[in-house]
Amino acid sequence: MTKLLEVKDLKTYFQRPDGVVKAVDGISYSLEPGETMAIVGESGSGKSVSVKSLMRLIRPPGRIVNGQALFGGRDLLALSSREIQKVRGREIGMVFQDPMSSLNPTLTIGRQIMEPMLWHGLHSRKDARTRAIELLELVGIPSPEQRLSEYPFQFSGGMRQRVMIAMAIACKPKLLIADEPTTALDVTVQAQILDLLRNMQKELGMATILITHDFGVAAEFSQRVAVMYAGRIVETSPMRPFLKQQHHPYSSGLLRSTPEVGRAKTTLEPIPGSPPNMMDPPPGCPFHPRCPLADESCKASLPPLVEVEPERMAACLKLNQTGGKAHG
Amino acid sequence: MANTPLVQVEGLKKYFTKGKQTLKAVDNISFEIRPGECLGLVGESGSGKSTAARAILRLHEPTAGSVRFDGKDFLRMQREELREMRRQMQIVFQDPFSSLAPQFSAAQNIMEPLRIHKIGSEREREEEVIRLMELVGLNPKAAGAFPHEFSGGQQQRIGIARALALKPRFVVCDEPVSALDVSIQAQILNLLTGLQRDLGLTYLFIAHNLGVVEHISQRVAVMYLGQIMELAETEELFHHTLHPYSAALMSAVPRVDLDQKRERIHLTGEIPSPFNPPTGCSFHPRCPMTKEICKQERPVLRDVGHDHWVACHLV
Repeated sequence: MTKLLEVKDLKTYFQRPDGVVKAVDGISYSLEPGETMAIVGESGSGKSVSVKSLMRLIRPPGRIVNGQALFGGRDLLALSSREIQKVRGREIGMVFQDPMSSLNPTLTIGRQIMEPMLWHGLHSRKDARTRAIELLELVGIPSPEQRLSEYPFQFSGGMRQRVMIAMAIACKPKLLIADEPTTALDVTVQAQILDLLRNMQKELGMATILITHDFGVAAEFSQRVAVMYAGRIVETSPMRPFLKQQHHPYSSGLLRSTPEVGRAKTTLEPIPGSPPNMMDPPPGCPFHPRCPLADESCKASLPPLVEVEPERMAACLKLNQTGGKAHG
Repeated sequence: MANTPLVQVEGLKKYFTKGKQTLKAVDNISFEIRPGECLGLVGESGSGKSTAARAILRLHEPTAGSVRFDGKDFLRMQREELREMRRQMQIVFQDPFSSLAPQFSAAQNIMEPLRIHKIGSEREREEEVIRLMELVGLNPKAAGAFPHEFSGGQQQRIGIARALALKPRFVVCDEPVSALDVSIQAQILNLLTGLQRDLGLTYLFIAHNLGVVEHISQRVAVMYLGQIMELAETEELFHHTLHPYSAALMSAVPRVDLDQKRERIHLTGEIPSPFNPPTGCSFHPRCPMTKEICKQERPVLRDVGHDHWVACHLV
């Protein structure tokens, strides 16, 4: 099968007065058409920067310093700003965490939903309006025709996120990037939005990259998972086998430190310490200061991401102790 | 009952007025917290859980109702008596950074309650700060550093040390781990559990994360639009859920265990505006089981056996 997206050795650095922050430091992955993948990590792991880089939404002092992102035969990272604008919103849709700050407070909802369709010249104004009403209906907003002329502040948080989704899918993109789309929402509303995203994804056959810090959200939504730590992917796997057994000690540490509903009496095993200061990351494997398996060798060299079993990769020198064996 | 409650809340109300409108943030709630237990309070945003906790501590003066601490009427207390009582009740906030004074060092932040209550000499206070820092897992060598120099998890440890400085018996934890990364959350939860056990503390633990509340609490109360919908022992509540709202809330939590069979209860709509709450049971417009009576009469919280309290006409 041809890949829809192929990211190769992406590096995005931020130049700061006191040094360089390697927010994303050499990540590679690919996505097939219609596939759903979750990128899971804690704050500062680089998960958001990695997808913003694809969309070329990195502003100085940030800079994409290396890599390729092949999407439909073109390298997104090499396109001119004019060309990338034709991709954004048209072929790749985006939904962000905070719907209030990503909507323009001074424009009506209708105008904002119509904008991508008009900008990309897909519809006449009249057709775009009809389509906007359809879209609002599709994402579950009651009396869509009236609400078209209302402003973002007149919508609740969950409703705003529905509007964002309507905008993101307006041009029927091949890829949807959802960056913590439910983090700001209450759990009952989160469930509604995840259902909606799932339905839209199936209906339109969009590939989806979901960025989240919540393994529960990732597990329910995605076929595949990539775990990020300190700017790198430390493990990638199909979701189901990953949830049964993790190959990277950081992945299993994260899962064991999450209190899950219905399993109250299990003891939480926190990961000691805190994520590294990205101005001055530890040498070798960046996880070694917090890792129960680490020894001298982990301080000496950076473990490469290697295939542990078919379709599953991990970056750890102690794979024999985590239940995995590196192939080849 | 063997244990006399440490905190008894009865008919507590906290209303806010805006122009001619009244927002009933907390509307007639009653419960008790037993010595040494952790009572979890869960609910979505706007359910009134934080306001309830603040009204109990009189950080917001309650509109009506009574709060008894150790059998004494806390809401009637004034000046010296109130001050003394407040030493015994402390609070840990959600955002560890904004709850600390940024211009004070960690040590000064932790010491401040001791100064205010004029406890010990300066030297004794300094020694106490070192003891407190060790108690919460901070390196006392960092005492002179300022809040921004600490990570989020460490800032929360400073907040906890400050709350413990006056040796309180009762601590309100208001979303203490919500702002923290998952790997750090578990550290703080384990710390709070250890402190509860070692110091015999009593907690009111507020959170929107059901997993967190289930993990740390002995009993749990579920709030919705200013009212308690259900209250029971943790295991009873999570495994014999009676209120349709609690059931929906639990079913909505995404889980890692994909093999665990469960039915998702789909709730329509969002929490209604508290300025204009529904008649009868406040949950009826979203409830999948609504009957006529639910629209007319507000159900009262009643004991249905096994110390399991529920406010629903259909149970």
